[in-house]
Amino acid sequence: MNTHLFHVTRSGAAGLLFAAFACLIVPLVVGSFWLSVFTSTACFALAAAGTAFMYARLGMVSLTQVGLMGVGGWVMLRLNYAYGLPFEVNLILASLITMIFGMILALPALRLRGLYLALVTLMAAGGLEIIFATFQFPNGGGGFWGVETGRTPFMARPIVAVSDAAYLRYTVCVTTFGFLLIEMARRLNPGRAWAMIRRSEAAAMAAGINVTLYKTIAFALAGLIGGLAGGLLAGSLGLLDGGTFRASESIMVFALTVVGGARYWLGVVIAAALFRIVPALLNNWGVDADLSFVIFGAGLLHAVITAPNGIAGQVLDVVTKKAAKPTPSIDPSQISAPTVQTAKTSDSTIEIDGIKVQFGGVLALNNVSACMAEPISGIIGPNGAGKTTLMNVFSGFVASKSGSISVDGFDLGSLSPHQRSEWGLRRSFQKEEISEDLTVAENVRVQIDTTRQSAADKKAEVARALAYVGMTTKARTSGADLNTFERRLTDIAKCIVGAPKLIMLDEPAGGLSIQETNALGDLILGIHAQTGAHVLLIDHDVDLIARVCSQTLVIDFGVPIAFGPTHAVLSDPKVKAAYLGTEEFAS
Amino acid sequence: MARNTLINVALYVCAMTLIILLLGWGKPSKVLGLFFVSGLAVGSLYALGGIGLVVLYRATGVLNLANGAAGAAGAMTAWQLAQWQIWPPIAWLSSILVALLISLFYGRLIAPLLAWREPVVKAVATLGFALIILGLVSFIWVDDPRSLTLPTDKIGVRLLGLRVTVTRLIVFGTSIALVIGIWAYLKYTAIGLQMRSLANDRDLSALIGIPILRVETIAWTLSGVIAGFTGLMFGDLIRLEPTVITFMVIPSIAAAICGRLEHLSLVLIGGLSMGVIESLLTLSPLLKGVRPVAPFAIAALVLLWYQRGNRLTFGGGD
Repeated sequence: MNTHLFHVTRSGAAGLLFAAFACLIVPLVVGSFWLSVFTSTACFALAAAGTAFMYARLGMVSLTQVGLMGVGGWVMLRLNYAYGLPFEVNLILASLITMIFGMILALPALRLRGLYLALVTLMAAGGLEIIFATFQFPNGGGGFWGVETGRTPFMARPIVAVSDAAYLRYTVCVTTFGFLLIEMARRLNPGRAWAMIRRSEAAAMAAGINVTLYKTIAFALAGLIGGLAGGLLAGSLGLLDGGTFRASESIMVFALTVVGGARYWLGVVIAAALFRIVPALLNNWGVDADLSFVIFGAGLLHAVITAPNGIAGQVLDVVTKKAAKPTPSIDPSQISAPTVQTAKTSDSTIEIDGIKVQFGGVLALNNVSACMAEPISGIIGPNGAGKTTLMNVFSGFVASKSGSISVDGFDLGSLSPHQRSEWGLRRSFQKEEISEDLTVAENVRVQIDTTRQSAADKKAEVARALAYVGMTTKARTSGADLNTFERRLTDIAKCIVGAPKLIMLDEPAGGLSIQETNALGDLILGIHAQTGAHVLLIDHDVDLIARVCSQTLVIDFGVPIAFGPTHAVLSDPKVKAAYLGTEEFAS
Repeated sequence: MARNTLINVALYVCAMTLIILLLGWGKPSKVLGLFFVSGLAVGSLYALGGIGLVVLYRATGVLNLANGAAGAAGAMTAWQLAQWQIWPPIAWLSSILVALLISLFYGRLIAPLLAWREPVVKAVATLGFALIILGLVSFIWVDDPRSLTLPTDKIGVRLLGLRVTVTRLIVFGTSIALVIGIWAYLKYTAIGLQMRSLANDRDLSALIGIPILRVETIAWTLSGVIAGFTGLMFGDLIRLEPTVITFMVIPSIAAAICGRLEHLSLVLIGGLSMGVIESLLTLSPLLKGVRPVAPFAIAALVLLWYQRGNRLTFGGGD
């Protein structure tokens, strides 16, 4: 939420204090060797921050970060020697060019995830490593393409930071700026979108998030940050060497970020310190710096196996003694849905016409047609009947081989999943898809992030939806701390914001007690009066269906076997047979 | 499905022919043959590394980034024993043995702790192990130019007018034999059947009583042996340096990607093609410098080609 944009958390305050300490005190007390080590540590902290947010916020493993840093450094040096522009101009150009590189890298990433994404970024890092070896770093020499070795070249530094001590201050300031940039993105639309993408791409699309766009933004940001870091490193050393930007270093930085704790600024700083300071210390003590690999490796194994939040997570657990004062859980009997109204408030209809879906040799849906005009319709059928597949066709996740779905004569087929959400399609999933990184209010807010409304209107709308489902007291609670019922309620709230036209609920009562199911039923009954939207409900709880839905479609093995008023459908012998197995039980 | 395979094969043949024609145009056939053969040898190494990775990944779900490091430890041990004038066959075998022990150590003691985590996490953990081995190996054998020679380097065979060393023949032959051998093993033995079942669905296999621990141990053993052999051959044919051999795992991954981390024959074809293209690129004055990019570029393209038309919607599997 916008009001929280400038809110300083305690951890954030500690981070700023640390930056101030590194900026003001450290340059006064250390010698020139350590000045250079700390400057490079700050540069790598900045680069690692890019890897860290990708991993912690989007769940994407990017192994190209140090390669991107190299791109930034390369451009920086070339510009420096070729044109003699001021340092800042070069730095900005270098970061922008690296950002474009990052976006190119995003192209394959849009179709890949998990291990394959990590591997393709590793391939990119391997490629960059060799390209650096071919188109060498300049280190002096004339013109843009000049290369010269064996002399210490002149590297322009910012006017305000010519000495080594001043340059360390400068680097710390820029690094802090980079951290704040990432934090800002996290608190705005991109952050909410990333959290949903991390949870599930399907849920993100259903919430109206343009997954392609926000993934590209993430890669662009990581590229920008990497380029900035590379440019700063170039300014510190004046010359760079391809060996600094090997693919193995990219892997190492990622690994150390995991060790440090990718979710926290402290974790990123620890990662950079391990990467740059530990080898320097070992060198100082006359120990073979190769041993630092052993420390890194052991740290990585330790972190992966026992400490999912890294060293920083463990430190924070000790420092902040869980001030646990959880708000009481939502009591279903306290939820008072407004007077139940099922009267139709509009004449709109949903037309499902000849939908056919095939997965390999399985005909998941065969010629499903129905015309639903009632405010709340149900879809029932045994497990594997194709109910959820039908919803996925509605959402645009699964393509139908023939047929169409239209609402009020508007054919949904031409829209991508997130466009359908903008049009007014809402859905919940069997497994409730609530992002654990966001608060309840933010989880609901994601759904209307793309609509053209003022921030205040959006806020009011979220508050209204939460009030409707009785979750007002939980608005600030993190998604991770909700119980199943509260997650289901949040799902409902998410479905009713932003002028929905069709709301699909996939087994919303799954895992709920009888009282909870009743409260949920009340809420569902009130949705049409509240929003004017159609509701499509899949559930195995026949009592709930009978109570809530005016008409019901029954699917068995992908074929519609009955459709009509709910009570008539439920007493149909064919339906009973489909549910109970054989005719004998169907009396 | 069949049509897809046909398209892939046609595309591959066209691309390979085109590349070879483009790069080899106007060069004497002898030169071309020379680069082709040396490319096949390098490609076999990529393929061998890739096969080791895929065999293990299929059976255990672990993409073992420490394979290269295990190979490096093996190759360095072999070199050390050779320095101590130990009977050569023992030195060579020690390479395989050391890699095998390292692989088994991880497979039996560390991997089970991560059995239920996602593939990326498992891969990242093996990276930690790789770093430990690399650190220790580089600590024991400080940077020095070393070389490892096998007696087969000196024996040459004339093939179509070209002299080919027996070492290269061994590497090439082993990679093909391994693919056929493992294919037969998976197809005709009980353990092979169980491995395929594990690769298909771990949870279900556990439920129907597949002895997971035993099958996995065999997979770790197999991949350890392959890693040791590959490390030894790499040390002989290319360079004996721990860091280089350790990160040879990156082009091996490229080869493994060509087989979608699944099909050994495709890994072999992919690895060999990468080696050949990389080697032939030497003929082009323009692309000579970026020659080692070839495996990465090829793998990235192949991955994109495989993923075309795929849409990412649902969570879970990669």
